[in-house]
Amino acid sequence: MSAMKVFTDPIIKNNPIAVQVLGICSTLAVTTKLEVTMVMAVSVMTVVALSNLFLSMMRKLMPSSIRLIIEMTVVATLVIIADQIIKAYMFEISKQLSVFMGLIITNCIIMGRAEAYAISNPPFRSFLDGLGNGAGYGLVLIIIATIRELIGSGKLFGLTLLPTVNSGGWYQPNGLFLLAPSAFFLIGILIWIARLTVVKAED
Amino acid sequence: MEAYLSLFIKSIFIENMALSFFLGMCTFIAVSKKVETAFGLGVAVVVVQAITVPANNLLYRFVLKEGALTWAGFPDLDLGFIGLVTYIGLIAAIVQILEMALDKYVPSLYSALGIFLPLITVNCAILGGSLFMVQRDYSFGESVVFGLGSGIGWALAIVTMAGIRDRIKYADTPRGLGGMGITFITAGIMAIAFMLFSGIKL
Amino acid sequence: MRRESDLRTFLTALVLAVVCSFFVAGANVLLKPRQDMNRELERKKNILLAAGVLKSDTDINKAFGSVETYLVDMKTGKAEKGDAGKYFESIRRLAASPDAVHLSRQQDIAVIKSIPAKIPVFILRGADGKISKVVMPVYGSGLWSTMYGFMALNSDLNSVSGITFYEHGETPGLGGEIDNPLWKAQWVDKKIYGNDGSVALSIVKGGAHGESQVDSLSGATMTSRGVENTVRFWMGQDGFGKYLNSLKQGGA
Repeated sequence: MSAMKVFTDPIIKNNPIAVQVLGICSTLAVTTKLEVTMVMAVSVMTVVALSNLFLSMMRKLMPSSIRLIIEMTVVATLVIIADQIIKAYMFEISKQLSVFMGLIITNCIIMGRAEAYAISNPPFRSFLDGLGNGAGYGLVLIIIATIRELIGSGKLFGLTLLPTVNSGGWYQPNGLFLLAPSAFFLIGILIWIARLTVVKAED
Repeated sequence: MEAYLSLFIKSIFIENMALSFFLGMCTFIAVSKKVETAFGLGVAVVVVQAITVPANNLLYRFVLKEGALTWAGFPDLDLGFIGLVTYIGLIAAIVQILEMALDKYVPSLYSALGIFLPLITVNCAILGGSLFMVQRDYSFGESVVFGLGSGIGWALAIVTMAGIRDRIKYADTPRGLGGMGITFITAGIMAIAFMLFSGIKL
Repeated sequence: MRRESDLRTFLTALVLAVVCSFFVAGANVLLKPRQDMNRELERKKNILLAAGVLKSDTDINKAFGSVETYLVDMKTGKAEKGDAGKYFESIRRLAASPDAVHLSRQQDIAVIKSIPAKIPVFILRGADGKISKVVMPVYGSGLWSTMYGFMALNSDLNSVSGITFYEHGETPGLGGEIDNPLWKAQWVDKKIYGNDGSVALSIVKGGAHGESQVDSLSGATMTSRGVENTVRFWMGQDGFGKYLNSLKQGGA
């Protein structure tokens, strides 16, 4: 596989969320506002790319008996640093991310890519694989957040596009899109579309 | 007492870990194909959650929290920032110990739950439970109730889901929607059902 | 050295632990002052916002410089100059501590069980040194969550200068509309107390009229009721009522 393909494949064709069904936990909870979602997407992308890079560099040094713990420690370190940076420079957003920033540690995409790719491939390719998977994850997140924020509150990036009735406009927002169930529906439909078009699933 | 009961009900139904915070979704989707396995995993989550949340509560209150190390002579130390890595470490350690203890003393239970235990360390419902406990500043008693309640809530959700999926198997879903797609949409409908519990005040 | 030897495993773990802790601790040391500053700034911003003196170009730290902080003893209503300290990070803990003020069922309309023994209030003064605004922290149960906010009164200690909630978990789009500036604007100049001195303010469904009524949020009955009860409690005799009375009689 060419290096380019390592990066592009997971964005659409082998998308971690829609096709591999990984990393759903945090996907859904932070998608009511596009701005917050972008920060989450970039954080996950950075963490998965860097953890892939470092773990791949260490792959020949790691004793197998403590492999999982090492992976966990590296990921946790990266997540803590990312969390600290966001708390310091994007305070408003960090409040809305609440515990979900910390939960990147248990995001299955990160451990999944480390186990499936980084420990058996060279650093540069692992880095690209991480970037690609992060981008694929971010893409789905952004699609869902765009729909939810626009229909749920008539805004994008916090800018009013459809002035709502409560603020003196005409648009009656659909509150369901701000609540948990809508995220499940949207992701179900997204997976459906992915299975019909990009991948022909076996089931 | 009343406050504990209220918290218990709230953490099972209203603030359901799986359906209103989306926690533990990967395992929730992957392991809900059969009711028996879902039940096994559910029980394992309840046990681990009920142990790790209070354990992390003690860790938080006596070591990590700002001023928590006063007893050791460091009144100004705030170790909150290493919370993440210590909580996940403690969870991993407890799961490991539980696995060994079950293997040694209750082999029958081990053979039933054993395969699920390693899955649990990376289940975000477990870490999420501990993080919510810290964020909401629960006391030790509250953390016991919350750990148990949120575990039961998660187990309830996954067992129900498995029951529904058992039936869906025989349904004629549109092409491409079968499997994952319909599972998510079902989860959405379940989430709406659980929302009906909101507003219940004890 | 063999890859799987015990010594090697141990050394790898040790090196990794040292390296990781170096980075984590480094990040914390470098960024903590900034994080603390953010939290502080956020608090000041909300206090000024409730007082209605925050404009888009206000320098928050400068504007807050003239704000005086008093600690109110919730049992007696007496206040003395003080420092908010860590109050806002530890409300829950203070309310559960042994010296907290416990509320009976009748008193506890905001459903918060007990309140801290001492609560900071913030006073803004006009050029003549007279009180122009009093900003008080309030909190109470909404539908899902405890809502934390500030309530500010004008110099007559009766009409509302502003209300703002800085932390809550109400349903976005419904109860979450307590953040809506248009709704908050309704509160301005409403009278808290009736002629007999008891709390008269109420939140009514549709067509609020009169000087003590505010429209409820559509589709959020429970949240609106929560806000009403929160205001009634904190402005009443079990809340800041005693303190406000002593202010009216000319105390500081």
